[in-house]
Amino acid sequence: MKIRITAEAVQQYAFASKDMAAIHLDSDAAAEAGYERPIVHGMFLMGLAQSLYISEHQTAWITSCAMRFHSPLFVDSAATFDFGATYNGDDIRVTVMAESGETIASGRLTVREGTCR
Amino acid sequence: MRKVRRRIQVTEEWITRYARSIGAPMQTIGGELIAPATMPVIFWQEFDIPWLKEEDAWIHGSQRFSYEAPMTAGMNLDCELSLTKAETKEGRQGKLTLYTHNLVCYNGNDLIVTAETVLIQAGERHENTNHG
Repeated sequence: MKIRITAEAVQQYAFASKDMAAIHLDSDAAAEAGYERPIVHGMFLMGLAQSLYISEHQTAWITSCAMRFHSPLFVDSAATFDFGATYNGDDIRVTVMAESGETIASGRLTVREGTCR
Repeated sequence: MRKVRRRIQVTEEWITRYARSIGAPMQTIGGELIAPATMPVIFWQEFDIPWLKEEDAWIHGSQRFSYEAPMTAGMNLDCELSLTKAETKEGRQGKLTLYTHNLVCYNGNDLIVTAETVLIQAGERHENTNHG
């Protein structure tokens, strides 16, 4: 599933989470930190991943989840969220990729189906 | 080890606001609204964390959440955030310091969630963050 992550969405997440770090919101602060543009909060990406999964599995309760952040994703760019079964079949593998194909983040969700409404 | 504690009230309004920000559908169990699995990360903003300086630039290295029971609206959680490890590694762009934190939240005597957060800072370990 491909999503364009806009500056407005990042700003909304920043307000809701109170994570107003300038590197996510301000071009000058991002440049000072060595990025060409502001970068998306890693936890926004992880939140989106769980939301996308739950949107398709509304009775599932996420009992655990984990994500490792490999590379920054710039604000106002697209991210592809890929979900698949793991080798042991118990977990859902999650990969977040930039338009370039670079892996931005990867992790897993463990869910219990039929728990929620 | 450095630790801070805080009682955190999980309200419907707070869950709703956070869920909207990440596009999460609303879920309930037993008629109570369930917090999205990633929500405990925003509990950090409720703590005064003396070993993290606001002016420092951090990168989120990894994040993990593990639930014993769903976190629902109306819970009053007793949460403890601790710095469990600080280690310096050599990265492609020089020295990196990795700070591992654990957040543990109980509802009464019931463990609800544990979370591990690894924050990364470029450069040498800051004197303020050394821990015994």
